[in-house]
Amino acid sequence: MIHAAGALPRLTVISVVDILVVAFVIYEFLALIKGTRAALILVGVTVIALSVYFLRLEGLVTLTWVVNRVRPYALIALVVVFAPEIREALARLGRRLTMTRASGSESDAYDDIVLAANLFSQNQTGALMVIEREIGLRTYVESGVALEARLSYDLLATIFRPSAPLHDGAVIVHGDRVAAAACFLPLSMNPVLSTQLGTRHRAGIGITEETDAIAVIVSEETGSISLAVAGSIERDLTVDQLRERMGQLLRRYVPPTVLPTPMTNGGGILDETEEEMPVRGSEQHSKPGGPR
Amino acid sequence: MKIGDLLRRYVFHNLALKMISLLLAFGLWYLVASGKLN
Repeated sequence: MIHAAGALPRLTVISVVDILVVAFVIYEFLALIKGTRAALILVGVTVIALSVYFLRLEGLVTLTWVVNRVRPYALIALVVVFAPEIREALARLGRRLTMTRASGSESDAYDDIVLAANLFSQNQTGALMVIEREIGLRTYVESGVALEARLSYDLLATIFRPSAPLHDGAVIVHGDRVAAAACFLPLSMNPVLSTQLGTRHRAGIGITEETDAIAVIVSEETGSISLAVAGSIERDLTVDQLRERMGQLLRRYVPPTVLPTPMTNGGGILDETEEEMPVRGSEQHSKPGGPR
Repeated sequence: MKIGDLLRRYVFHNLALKMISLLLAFGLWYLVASGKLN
């Protein structure tokens, strides 16, 4: 037990546990809303709450009356305002408690990524798919076009179709949903990387340097499939190897499967040649769609 | 996983936010424990 000087209340072991638990809850909430509009709302709410607390509304009879009337509904209002964040927090807690990295639907969704990579490889269509893990990719999601669509093979094939408006950039996958397409990613500045690697590959590596995401990259030039994890890249993977590696990284069982046979160029929807990607934005953040 | 990686991932990641959370939690505990927050 600690007796702090002055007016500090008695600090016991239980108090320390109490503070740590509350700190954890506050941290999880702040981490959840960091970088979102909810953070700005929270700043506004905090400023109002602090103003009311410190001013004590001495002499301000009308304002005191208003605050007293509104206060009972403030908690309900906060729950309504932060409903999506609360839902997300509870879902995250549930995921942690059940120790699941990928649900059944997510597992199926990742299979769609592998199948799509197979298609892009056969048709030599450039593609970059980033899969979010523990660290949120909200900053990058907001740089692209928000989709929040259920992830499927057909959706990916449509997005990366060379004539499609969203093909130029990265797709960010969050759980079993495509959070956004045409996203800007940070380019890796690693000088050790091969000079053969173009913008798309560097963007794929760049995002894995800054976060714990994994990136699946299909070369437009050769059709080869690469996987970027933690700033390093595994090149020229077969589809089976990609499947296996993704299974390891996302910690799930990968049953053997038969992949579709190569498509013919004649009637394929992805047989057009993709034009070279213009590097947009700053030097560090580019939309990865360049050749290689 | 190396100790450095563990520290980077679980301790240093979002360190400022962790410090702010701890400060807020301590402040809240102080207000509640001293009866200033009824």
